[in-house]
Amino acid sequence: MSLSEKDYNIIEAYLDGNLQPEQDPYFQDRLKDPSFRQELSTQASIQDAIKSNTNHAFIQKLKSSQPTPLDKNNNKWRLGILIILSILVAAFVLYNYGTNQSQTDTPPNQLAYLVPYPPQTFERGTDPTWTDSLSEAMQLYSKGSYAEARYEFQAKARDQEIVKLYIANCSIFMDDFETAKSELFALRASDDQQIKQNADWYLAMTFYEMGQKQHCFDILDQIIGSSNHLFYSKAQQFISQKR
Amino acid sequence: MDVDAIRKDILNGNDQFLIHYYHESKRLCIGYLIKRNLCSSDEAEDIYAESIIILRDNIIQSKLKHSTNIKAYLKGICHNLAVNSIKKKVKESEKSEQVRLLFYENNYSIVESEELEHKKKICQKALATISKNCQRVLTLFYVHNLSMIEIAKEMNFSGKDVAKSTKSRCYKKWIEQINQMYNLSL
Repeated sequence: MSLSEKDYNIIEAYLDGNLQPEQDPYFQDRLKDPSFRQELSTQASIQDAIKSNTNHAFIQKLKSSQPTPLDKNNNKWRLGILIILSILVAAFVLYNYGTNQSQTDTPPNQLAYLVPYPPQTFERGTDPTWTDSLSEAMQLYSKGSYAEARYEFQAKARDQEIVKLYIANCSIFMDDFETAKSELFALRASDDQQIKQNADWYLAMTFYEMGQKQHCFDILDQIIGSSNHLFYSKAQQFISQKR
Repeated sequence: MDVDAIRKDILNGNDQFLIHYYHESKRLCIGYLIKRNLCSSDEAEDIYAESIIILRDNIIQSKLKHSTNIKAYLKGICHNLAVNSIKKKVKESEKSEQVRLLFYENNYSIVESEELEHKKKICQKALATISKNCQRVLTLFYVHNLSMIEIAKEMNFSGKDVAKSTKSRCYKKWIEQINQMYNLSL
């Protein structure tokens, strides 16, 4: 008996695992036909054969192949990673060089804790409340020319508290601790909390630099007594390391 | 490791990744099988080649993770293949075994004919005569065991129903070609 289109569809569905329950009685019935069974068996073998033939051909291809590096994309990745690593190493070396330079620029008696006001380098000399007359002083201060900056500050706006803070800072970094001390003492009485708290810290540092450690730690103890003090964390670190 | 890109390459017939790892891990895997007395050196070669096929299939079926160490992965496959070599042989003739079992359970005689053997031999040639699109669909389904949804995605079909009808049409063409070639050879 020859096979119908329906027979071929049923065989395909069975071998694909897609035989529906309603197709099953027909399938079971057709199994009685030797020609149906032969076709079913042939198609099953063909499906297996195509897989094993492809795999066999692939194994032959593998066995006869030569070792090759991975594809170009992979080499690009490797090259990319190498470039990134080189940049990182260069950046690290430059950063260390810069850090060492700034450390050697700093006088040896000055502490890492003692950085000019304000601590954020980018804010130095950019106070919006400054008048044009102070811009020259601020530029000098930003450049680290403390003697010239202090002269300009004293000449232009001697009465402003923030200017006094800058003058005190200039004095500290000129090792003129006495001037710094007198300026900062006065500023500790300021109503402006930011000015006052900066004065606390810089006065403590001035005492430390002057070798008057007890005065320094007295002020630092006062700072750490107020958890919302601007220099609370710094004071804690300083005490834990220096006391 | 970009597994998706590798998968795409393999499906497009680029086996560079597999060839690379075939050579890169060969000594390690075969050495491992022999050293552990899991098989003879001749068998080790075959098991190793089989492990590359399993690696390929697992990449295609998205079973491989981006972080997988390929060498260790292949070594693991080799170990499992050596220990379960009987299972592997059954798997190779999955459909035939299924039909054989069906006949046995229903007390039908097992079909063994020259015709069948001959058709098995010409099925590859017959596949080469149909359209590239059909060859690809049938390979994805019968060799790589992809689902209709995956085939639809690979072939940019609008959905699994299109993939299913295309596969069915191609399959019929293929069987038709096999029969034609067989009849011509008589």
